[in-house]
Amino acid sequence: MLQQPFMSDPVVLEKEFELLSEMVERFKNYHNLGAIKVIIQRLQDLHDIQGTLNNLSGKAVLDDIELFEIKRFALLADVIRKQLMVLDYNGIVISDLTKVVEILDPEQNHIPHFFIYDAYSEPLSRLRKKRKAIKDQQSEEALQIHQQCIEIEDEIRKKLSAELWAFYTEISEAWQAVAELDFMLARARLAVDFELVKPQTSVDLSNFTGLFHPQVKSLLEQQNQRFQPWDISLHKAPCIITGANMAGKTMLLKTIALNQYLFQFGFFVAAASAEIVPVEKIMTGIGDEQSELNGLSSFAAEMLNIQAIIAQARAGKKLLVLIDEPARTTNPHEGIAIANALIDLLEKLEVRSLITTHYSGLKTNCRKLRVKGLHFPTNTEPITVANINQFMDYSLVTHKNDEVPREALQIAKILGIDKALTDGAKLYADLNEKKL
Amino acid sequence: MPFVDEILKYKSVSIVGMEKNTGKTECLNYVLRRLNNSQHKLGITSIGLDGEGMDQVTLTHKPEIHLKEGDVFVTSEAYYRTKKLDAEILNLSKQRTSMGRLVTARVSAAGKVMIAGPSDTFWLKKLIESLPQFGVQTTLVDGALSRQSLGSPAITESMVLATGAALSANMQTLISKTAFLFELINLPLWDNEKSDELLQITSGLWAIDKQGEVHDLGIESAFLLEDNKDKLFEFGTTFYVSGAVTAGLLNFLRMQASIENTVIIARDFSRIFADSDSYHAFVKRGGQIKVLLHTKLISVCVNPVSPQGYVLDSKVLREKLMEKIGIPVYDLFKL
Repeated sequence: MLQQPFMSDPVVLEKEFELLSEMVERFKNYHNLGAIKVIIQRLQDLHDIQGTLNNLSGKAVLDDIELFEIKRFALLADVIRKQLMVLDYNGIVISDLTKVVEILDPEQNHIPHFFIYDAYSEPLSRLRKKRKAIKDQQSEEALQIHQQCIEIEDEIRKKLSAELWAFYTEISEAWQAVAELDFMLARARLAVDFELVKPQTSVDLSNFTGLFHPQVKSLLEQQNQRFQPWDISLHKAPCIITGANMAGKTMLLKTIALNQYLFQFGFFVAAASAEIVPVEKIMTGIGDEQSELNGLSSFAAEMLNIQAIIAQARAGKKLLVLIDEPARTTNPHEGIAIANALIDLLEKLEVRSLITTHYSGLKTNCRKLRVKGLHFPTNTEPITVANINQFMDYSLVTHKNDEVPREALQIAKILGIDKALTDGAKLYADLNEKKL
Repeated sequence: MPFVDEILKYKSVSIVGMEKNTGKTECLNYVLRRLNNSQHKLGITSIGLDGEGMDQVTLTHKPEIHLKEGDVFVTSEAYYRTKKLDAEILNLSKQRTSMGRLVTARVSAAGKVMIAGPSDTFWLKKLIESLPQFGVQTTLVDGALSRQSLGSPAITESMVLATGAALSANMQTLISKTAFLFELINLPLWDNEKSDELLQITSGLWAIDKQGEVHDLGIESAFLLEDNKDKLFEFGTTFYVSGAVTAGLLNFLRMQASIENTVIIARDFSRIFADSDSYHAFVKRGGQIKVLLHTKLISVCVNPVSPQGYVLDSKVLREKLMEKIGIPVYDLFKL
C-alpha cells in the first residue's frame, strides 16, 4: 500500500480506473461472491516472502524453511489464479507457477507442507529405510548413514534451488501481482461500500457534481441525517469561497483534498460524477500550523507554508492549492491586503486553487462562490446546535459583490454564548456601521 | 506406565518445573519415551524462551528433547535449523518471537530438537488450538513457571509438576513448598459468566459488585494498595486482581472487618506471589481465593538429586509428599 505511487499521468490513471471498474463490476455481480470470498480468504494467508525472494534472486541455496515458503506461496498463487479465471478478470495476471509447485511437490500431495521427500532420490530413500531399521540410533552405523543422508539432502537442496532460480522472474512477478490484487480488491470493496464513482480525467477543468465526504456522510447517516453534497468546478485559477461560520467551508476544502488524493492514488471518488485534472502536487493550508517546537507563531508558520506553495508554483509545478482563511491570524487591515495579493499572485501563476475567507473587501476579480448558509424558518421553532443542520443550506452559489455574510453573532447566539458577550458585540458592530 | 495414560486423556498438558534442575526435561523425555510405540499423536511446544534461564546470545543450556516419527513439534526458526532429526514443515507463523518465526513440523525420522514456543498466553492458546488440524491429539507444553513469563501453564487442561532437591535440599522445606504450590494449583475455579470479560483485563485491581458488574478501582496494582485504601471497598468485597496477588494485599484484607466475605479472583495459580504464611492466615480468617483458569494436576515427579550433589532419600520423599498431597508422586530416575 505504501508503495502505491501518486499518479499524475492521465493515461496511467485511466488504465487504473478501467481495471478497477472491471473489478467493481465483478463485485456487484452476485454470482461472483464465492470466488471473491475464496480470494480474500487466501490473501489473508499470504505471508511476506520478500527475504526468500531476495535469496532466490541472489542465487543462494535455500533451506527447508525457504523452500516451504516458496511452495506455500506457489500453491496459494495457483488457487488465486484459478479463481481469477472464474471471475473472468484479466486486469491482473498472476504467472502460472505450476512448474514451481511440481519442483517442490514430487509426491503430488498438493498440500503446503515441505520436506526433502524420499521421491527426490532413490539412494536417499534406501538409506533412510536402512537407518530406520537400525535399533540403536546412536550406533556408529546409524550415525554414519545419517551423515550420508545429510550429504544427499544438501545436494538435493542445491539442485532444487538451481531449478527455482530459473523461475525467479515468474515467482517474483506473481508475488507482485498478488500484492496488486490485494490492493485492487480493497479499492473495489471501498468503492462498493461507500458508493464511490469512477472519475474521468480532464485536461483543463475539474468538475465535481454531488461531491461528498464518505466518512462524514456515513456518520451523518448513522444519526439519520443527510449529507448535503456540493457541485463545484475548479479552473486553472483561484476561486474564493465565502459563507457564514458553520457553513462547512473547511469541510469542503478537506473533501476536495481527499477526493483529489483518492483520484491520484487510483481510487474511485466520492461524488455523483467527477472529471478531474491530475496535478503533480496537492498543497494545503488548513488548520493552525503554529509550532512551539520551531518557535513559530501561527502567522509565521502560515506565511512560510504559503511561501512553499508560491515557490512550487513559480517552479512550474502543476498544483492544486487549498487554503483555509489565509492571513486570518494577523490584523484585518493587513490581513485583507495579504489575502488580496496572494489571490492576485495565484491568478497570475495560473494556480488551480480554492480559498475560503471571512474578509469583506477582497478587490480581486477572481471567481467567488458563497455557501448559501442559514435560512431562518418562518415558524417559530428555535435553532439550536442540535438542529442547526436542518436550517443550513450548504449549496454553493455564485457571489457577485465583495461583501461577506455577517452571521457570526447569530451563530454565537445559537451556540448559547453568554448574552453579555453577544449583546456587547452587537453594540460595537452597530457603532462601526455608523462610523462608516 | 504411571501417569502417562492419564496424560493421553487431555488435549493439552504442561510439564512444569518448580525450579531449574528439578528434572522437567527428564520428565518430558520420560513421557515421550513411554509413548514411543503409541499410536497417540503428540504435539510438543514450549512457553516462551525463558524457562531454563537460557542464554539467548549463545543459545546454549537449553536441553534437547527426543521426538519420534509422527510427532508434531513447534519451535523457532533458529532452533529448527539446528535440529537433529528429519521433519516435514507444516506451517510457519506470521508472528515473530525474539528468535524468529515459529515452525510447525512433523517428525519423519526420530531424533533430537530444541523447543521454543510462543511468548504470550494468547498466542500459545491459539497454537494449541491449531495443532489438531495436523492430527495432534495431545499437546505437551514445556512449561516455565517464571514470574517474568507472560505465558502461563494454566492455559493447558492439565499439568505435571517437577520438583526436587534443586528447590531445597531440606526435605521438610521441599515438601511444604511443593504442597503449597499444590494447594494453589487446586484453587477453585471462579465459575461466572463474567470470566471471559475479566480475562481480557491485563492490569489493575477491579471489583465485582453484587449485581455482577465489573468496576475499575483505579488502583494500578496490589503493590500500590497503601495509597488507595479508601477506594477499595466502594463496590463490595469481591476483587479481581489482574496481576500479582501479593502477601501485602492478603495481609491488608485480613485485617479488615469484611474479611469473612472477601473473595479474591486471580488469573491463575501462577499469579499468586504471596508466601504460604500470608495465604494461610488469609484463608483461616475466612478469605477466599478463586481463579479464572484452572488446570488439573495429574502427578508430581521428584528429582532427589540437587545440582550441588545433595541426594535425598527418594522413597521417603515420595511417600511423605504423597501423604501430604494425595496424588501420585514418582521418581523418574527410579522407574
